[in-house]
Amino acid sequence: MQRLLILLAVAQALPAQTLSSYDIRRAAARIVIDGKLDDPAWRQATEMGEFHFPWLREGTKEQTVARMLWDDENLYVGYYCHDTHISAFETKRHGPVSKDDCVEIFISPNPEKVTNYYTFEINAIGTMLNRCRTDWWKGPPTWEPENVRYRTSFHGLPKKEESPGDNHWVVEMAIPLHNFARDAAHMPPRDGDRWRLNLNRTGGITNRQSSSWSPIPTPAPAFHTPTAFGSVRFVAAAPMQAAQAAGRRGGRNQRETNPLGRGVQVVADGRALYNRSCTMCHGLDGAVGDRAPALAGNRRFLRTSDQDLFDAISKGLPGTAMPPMGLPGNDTWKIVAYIRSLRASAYEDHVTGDRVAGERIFWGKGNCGACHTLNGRGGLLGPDLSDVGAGKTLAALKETLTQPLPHVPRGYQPVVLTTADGRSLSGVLKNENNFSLQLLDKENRLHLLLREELKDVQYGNVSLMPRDFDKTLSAAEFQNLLAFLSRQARSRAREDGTR
Amino acid sequence: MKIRHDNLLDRYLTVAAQKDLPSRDREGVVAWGRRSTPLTVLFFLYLVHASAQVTYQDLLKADPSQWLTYQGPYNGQRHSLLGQIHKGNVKSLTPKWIYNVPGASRLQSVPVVVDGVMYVSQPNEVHAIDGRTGRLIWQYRRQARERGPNRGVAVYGNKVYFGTPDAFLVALDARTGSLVWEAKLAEWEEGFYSPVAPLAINGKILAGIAPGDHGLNGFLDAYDAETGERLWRWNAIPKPGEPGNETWAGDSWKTGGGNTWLTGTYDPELNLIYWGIGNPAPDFDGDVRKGDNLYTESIVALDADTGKLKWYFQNTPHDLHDWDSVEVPVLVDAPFQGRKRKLLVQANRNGFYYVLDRTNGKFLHGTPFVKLLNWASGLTPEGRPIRVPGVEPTLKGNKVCPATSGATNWMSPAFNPDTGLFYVVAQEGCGISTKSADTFRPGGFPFMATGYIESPEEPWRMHVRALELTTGKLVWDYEQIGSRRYGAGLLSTAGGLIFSGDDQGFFTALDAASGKALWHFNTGMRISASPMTYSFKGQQYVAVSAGVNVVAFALHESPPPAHDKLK
Repeated sequence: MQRLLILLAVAQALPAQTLSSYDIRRAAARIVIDGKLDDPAWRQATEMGEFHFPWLREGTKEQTVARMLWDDENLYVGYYCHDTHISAFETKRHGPVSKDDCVEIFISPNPEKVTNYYTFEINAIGTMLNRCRTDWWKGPPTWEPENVRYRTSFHGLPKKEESPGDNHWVVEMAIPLHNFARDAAHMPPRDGDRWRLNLNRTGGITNRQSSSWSPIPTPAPAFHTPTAFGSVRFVAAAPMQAAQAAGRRGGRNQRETNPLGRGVQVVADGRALYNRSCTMCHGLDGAVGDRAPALAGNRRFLRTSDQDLFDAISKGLPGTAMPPMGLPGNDTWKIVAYIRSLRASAYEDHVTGDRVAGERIFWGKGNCGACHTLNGRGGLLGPDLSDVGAGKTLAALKETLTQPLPHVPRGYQPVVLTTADGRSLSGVLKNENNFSLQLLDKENRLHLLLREELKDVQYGNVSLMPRDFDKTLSAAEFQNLLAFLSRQARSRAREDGTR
Repeated sequence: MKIRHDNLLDRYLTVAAQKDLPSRDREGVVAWGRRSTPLTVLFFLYLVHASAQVTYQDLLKADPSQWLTYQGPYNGQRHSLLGQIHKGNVKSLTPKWIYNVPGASRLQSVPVVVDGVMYVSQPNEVHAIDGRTGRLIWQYRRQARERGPNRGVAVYGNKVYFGTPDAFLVALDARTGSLVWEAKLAEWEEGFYSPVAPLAINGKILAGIAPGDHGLNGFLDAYDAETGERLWRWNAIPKPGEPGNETWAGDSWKTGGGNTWLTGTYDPELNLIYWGIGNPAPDFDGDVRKGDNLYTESIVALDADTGKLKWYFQNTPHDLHDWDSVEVPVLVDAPFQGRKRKLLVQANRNGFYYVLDRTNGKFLHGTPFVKLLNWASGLTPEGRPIRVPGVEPTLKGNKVCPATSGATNWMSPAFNPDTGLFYVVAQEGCGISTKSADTFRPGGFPFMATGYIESPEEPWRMHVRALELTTGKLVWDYEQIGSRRYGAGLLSTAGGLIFSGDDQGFFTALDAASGKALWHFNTGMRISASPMTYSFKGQQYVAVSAGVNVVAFALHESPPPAHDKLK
């Protein structure tokens, strides 16, 4: 419900004066700080939600997908920054990193005294700046937190310049909680404890970013506005529940046991290995197989779990042309991650694009909302898309938007009926047989009709769904729409417990 | 009739519709083409809101062609003004269609019908079907756990509402089955679920909860029909400091039960909701919860706007036999001892028939409606039972009549204003009730402190009985020979008929005046739900959930297709 309200609020473009909020869950397993965000524990962390861009006058909004977790030792923060122009140059500890492509987290452990807060700013090459902005700090302007561990995508490089392949970058960090002992109510925090904090994106050269998780209502950029910090709650979800949630997904025999996870880098490595070793038979990118089945797509597969795929690659399949590949173990796991990514739902996939802009296209230029419902809002003639990201692969999603269908799906056939007394009704057929028809008309009324009450039935053989969005939208708009649709995953939100 | 296939339908749609439709509609039609302006989008969205299906006025009016709530009209009389099927022609009543609900076991859902569209539920599922042909229009399935039955849906505006085994109230779009919102009633992990058909009242959806047999405290909630926001909650077990908490010894109120698992009734003039409250927990051991245990085993009247308690009447103070008072409180305006009064009548699971003044809850009259009743010798002038010692559950067991399954149960009663008779499904039977020590465990474990078995001394028998409204005097008695399990409720119609069903699968029409069986049909499946009736395009239907199917009946001679009545 809360999620729905948030969506509605965003859709109606209400002034973003409210604070963001988030439940920080307890990490169910160990997190390796390697700048990859592929640990199983991250999978149970829900996304914190869209960042806000109150000050952006021109350029593209590049979203940041942030997640947080905690345990008795650490607060964990993961950033996945969409960014097609990545640059960073500052290498000096406590240098002015925020002019580079940079992420920040400002943490106020005491909601009663939100002006006491601690800052962590990290640029894309892993230089950090910290301050302790509290009423008790009498030290220098900078501050040395203890034992902070973090990694970024370009960690330790002397510099990172913009390059054509830029797509995203990642920051993964673990902050020992004892750094906040002086201001926090409990150490470690207790279930239900509330803190205030904000996460920011700053800097860069081309398409300079300036966004925050909790919206800041100042006319000019002012990240140091603690009254605008969002509210977070520490949730001690029992490990049992997390295991159950994992079990539910595992029920489809899709157990994820890949030790490397399914992070972007793993998949990219896997793709390179696959296209080097497997294309001879299975086709480039698993698309078309000359001598063996295509591994991507929407058909049903015999081997769906990580272990099944690993075994097939490493041991071969007796009685078929599939040989044991003899690759190093890690390479095999990378290929497994890649094959799984070919079959992953769009929601699990790493879809680039600006999903906020995509939402505008959904309701505006794309006119999708005229026929489709999202979380209770929109038209009724087409299927409800609230879960389309979890139900379709990215490839299928693209196909739906660009390729004509061989036939009109059941329940959506356009039809014009003429009744015996000469009235005309048009809409989509929800059902029909030799004796009766059930019609949803274009004004969203249901009509129950017997064949004998009709003079004429005209079937449209083409679905009402436009299939040329790749032509009617620009490439960027199309990508943004994909990014938005891929995030529509209500069933996953339910499984993750973020109704 | 011609059937054509046209690849240029887009164009046809536009042309045909522009010819026939008023100009305002043309904007909408254009949106069917490949491209359209934002204006048409707005128009589409506007339409979604403009065509509200069921209004509060509709619910008040209770047009007999519709069946808009679990009980039909708000008063719970389950009396339809439709008279096309009547005593004279019921012999030619014929099954028109059977809809199989895939995966169903024992449907308890009472179908709701709006403009010929029937909404039937089972746990986690709602099916919208063509009420004339039994053809599916849409189906909603929710991935959730299995628990308890589902008794039906509510409709309001363009939405259909139902409760779920994981204790959510879910709102669907009535035209497509799209999920609109879901509101969490309680934690399913603690053992709560919601089998009760919600009730729609003036922009609010009331939702109840189960089960009290697990020591979980009940409540009645009201949600905003549009947004799913909770408007109020009435707690069935008063907390310390609230009136009634003193009727619970010590901390026993914390696991007191008192659930709200059957749909209540509503008086729009008084703006009062009447709801029956379930048993105290643990069910069979009263030693650990000394006191009257309010508001378990009570009928409560709540202000519909605020959820505040207006009055209560406790049928069974300090109950020891799990005699939930959830049976439908039926609202009738009728003379009582010469003066016209607003009455509430209820045939209670404890074996007594009660007549109350529904403006203030005052007890007016009470009398047993079953012969096998040994636990009370009568009622005091205030309506309190005069208990007979020696029937309370013990370690060894005591015989008590009626048994725990009750003199009646969730099967709906009916009232016919033409005959002035109240109709009830009665069960004659006794049980041996035992008790033991039990401790409450959170998580949905039974907290009953043992239970009962059927008494071997007499056979159990099911009856349909007609009682005089104000005296409870037996007017006629129809025994369902061969049947011994409860579940099927009653429907009264202006055709002078009472429809009933039994565990042998027989669906039967009785003469409302005499109780004589006029027609029957073997559905082949045990009937555990109450029948309902509606009409569409000039034809009256009677429908009932029977086992895994919904079966709809109509007169064999159908009226000709009603071309002029197309909606």
